[in-house]
Amino acid sequence: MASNRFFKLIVWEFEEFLNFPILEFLIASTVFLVLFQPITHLPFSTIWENLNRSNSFLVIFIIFIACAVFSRSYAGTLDRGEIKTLLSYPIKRWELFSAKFITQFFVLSAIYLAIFSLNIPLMGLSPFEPMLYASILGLLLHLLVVCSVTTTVSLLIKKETITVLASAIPLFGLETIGGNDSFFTGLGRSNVIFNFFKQSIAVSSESVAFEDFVLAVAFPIVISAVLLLVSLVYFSFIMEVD
Amino acid sequence: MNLGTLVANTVGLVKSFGSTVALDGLNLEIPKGISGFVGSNGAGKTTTIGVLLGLLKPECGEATVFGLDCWRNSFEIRRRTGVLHENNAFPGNFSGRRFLEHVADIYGVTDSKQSAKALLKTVGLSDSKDRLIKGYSAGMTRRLGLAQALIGDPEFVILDEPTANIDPLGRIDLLNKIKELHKEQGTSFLISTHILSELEKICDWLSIIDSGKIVDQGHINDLADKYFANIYVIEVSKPAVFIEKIKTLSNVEQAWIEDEKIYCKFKNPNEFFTEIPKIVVALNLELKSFRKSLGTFEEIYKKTAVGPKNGK
Repeated sequence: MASNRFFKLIVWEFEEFLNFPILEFLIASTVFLVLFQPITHLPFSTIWENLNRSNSFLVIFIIFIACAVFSRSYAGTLDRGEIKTLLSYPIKRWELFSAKFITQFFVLSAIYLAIFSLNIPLMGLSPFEPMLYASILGLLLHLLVVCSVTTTVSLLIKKETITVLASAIPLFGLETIGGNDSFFTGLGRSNVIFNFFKQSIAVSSESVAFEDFVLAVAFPIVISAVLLLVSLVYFSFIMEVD
Repeated sequence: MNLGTLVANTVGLVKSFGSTVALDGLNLEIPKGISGFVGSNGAGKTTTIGVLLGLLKPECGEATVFGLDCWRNSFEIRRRTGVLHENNAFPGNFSGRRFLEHVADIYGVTDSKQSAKALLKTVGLSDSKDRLIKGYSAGMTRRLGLAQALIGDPEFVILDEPTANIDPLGRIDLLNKIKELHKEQGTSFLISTHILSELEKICDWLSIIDSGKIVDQGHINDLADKYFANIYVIEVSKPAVFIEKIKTLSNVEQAWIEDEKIYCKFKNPNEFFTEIPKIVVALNLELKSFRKSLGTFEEIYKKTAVGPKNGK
C-alpha cells in the first residue's frame, strides 16, 4: 500500500511538472547550446575542448533552471498552501518530500541529457564517445548539488521568488569566483572529471591525480546527502504547516 | 463526557506563533455527530484544526482524534478524516476530475475514476469536470474542496467555512448532504463557520472559542437551557405598553424588546402564567404568542463569546 501510494505521488508530481513550460525551456536551452557551439569538423582534441566548453554553459544554465523548478516545487507549494492540502491527506511526510525530489531530479536530468545529446550531431561525435559520459557525470553531480541546495533553502525561506534568488545568486557567484579550479564549483568539478578521463585516452597537458578525481566526485555527493538528510528530517519531523 | 463518545478532544492545548498566543489552554470536546465550532476572527479555530490534523505541533497539552495523538499518529488520523481548509489551494493546472482521481488514489479508493465522477456530481461540478482548476470560480473551487473532503468515505470530516462563496441553493444542498451522510453513514462533522443560522439547521453540538479558549460547549439543548432558562418570548399588539407594565412586577428579573418581541426573565415562571391573560385584558392588548425561548445559536453565541468582551 505504501509503495503504491508513493508511486501515485510520483505520478502526481510528474503531472504537475508537465505544467512547467518545458517546451519553451527546451527550445531556449537548445538555441543557447547551438549558439555556444564553435565550428564543427575540428581535430578531436579541439572537439573535446568544445565539449568541455559546452559543459560550462550547461553548468550555469542548470543553476537557474534547477533553482526555478525546485523552488517552485517546495517553496512555491508551501507558499501557496498546496503542501497543506497534500499533508491533510494520508501521505507520510517523507513520501511527499522524496516523491518531489526524485521526480524533479530525474525529469530535469532527462531534459539536460536530451539537450546535452545535441552535442553528438553538432560536433560529429559518436554516441559511444567516452568523453560524452565523463561530461554527463560532471553535469549530473552538479545538478544534484544545485537541487539539494535549493531544496534546503526552499524549506528555510518558504517563498518561491526569494528562494530562487537566495539559491541561484550565491551558486552563480560561487561559479564566477571559484571558476575552473575549485572543488566547490560545478565548473571546477566538471573540469577535473573531464580532464581525468581525457588523460587516460589522449595526451593531455592538464594532468589530474586520482585523489582529485575522487574528491571531485565525492564532494557533491556528500554535500547533497547532508543537505537532503537535514531537509528530510526537518520536513518530516519538525516543520509545521500553517 | 465519556471519552468513548468523543471523536476529537483537546486538554489544556497551548500553541503560540511568536508572541501571539493562538490557543491558550484549549479544552475542546467534539462528540460523534454534527458539531459546530464558532468564534470570532482570530479566535483560534483554524489553528485548532491544524493541530487536530497534525499540521501544527502544540507546545503543551493533549490533542487526540479517534483517541490517537494528533502529532504522533497524524497519518492514521488523516487516513480516516476528510478536510476542507478555509483557504484550500489546489494544483491549478489539473482538471477537477484529474485532481479528484489523484486524491482518491492517495486514499486508496478502489475505483478512483468512478469515485471522482460520483463526487463531482454530488457537488454539482459534473459540467466543469474537465476544466482546469485555475479557471474555476471561487464557489466552484469551494465545491471541489468539499468533494475532496468526502473522498474515501471518511469517518470524520472537518469543514472550515464550507459554504463560503457558495450560492444559496448550493448551501441548502450542502447542508442536506451533510445531514444525509451523518444519517446514512454515521459520518461525524466538525463545521467551523461564521454563519450561525446554517449551523443551527444541522448541528446538535456547539463549541464556542474565544481568544484561544473554549468559552462554552455542549449539546445545543443544554446550552439553550443554560442560557435561556426561565426566559420567555411574548408577542403582543403593543409591546412598549406591555413591557412597562411587567417591569413593575416583582416576579420579573429582566425584560427587553428585540424585533418587536418581548423577552422576559422570571424568577418563577409558573406564577406568571396566570398573570399574563389578566394583564393583556387589563391593557386591552392582543396576545399573539407566548412561548419559552429556546435560544438561537446566534443568541447563545452573543451571551458567551461577545458577552465577556463587553464586560457583562
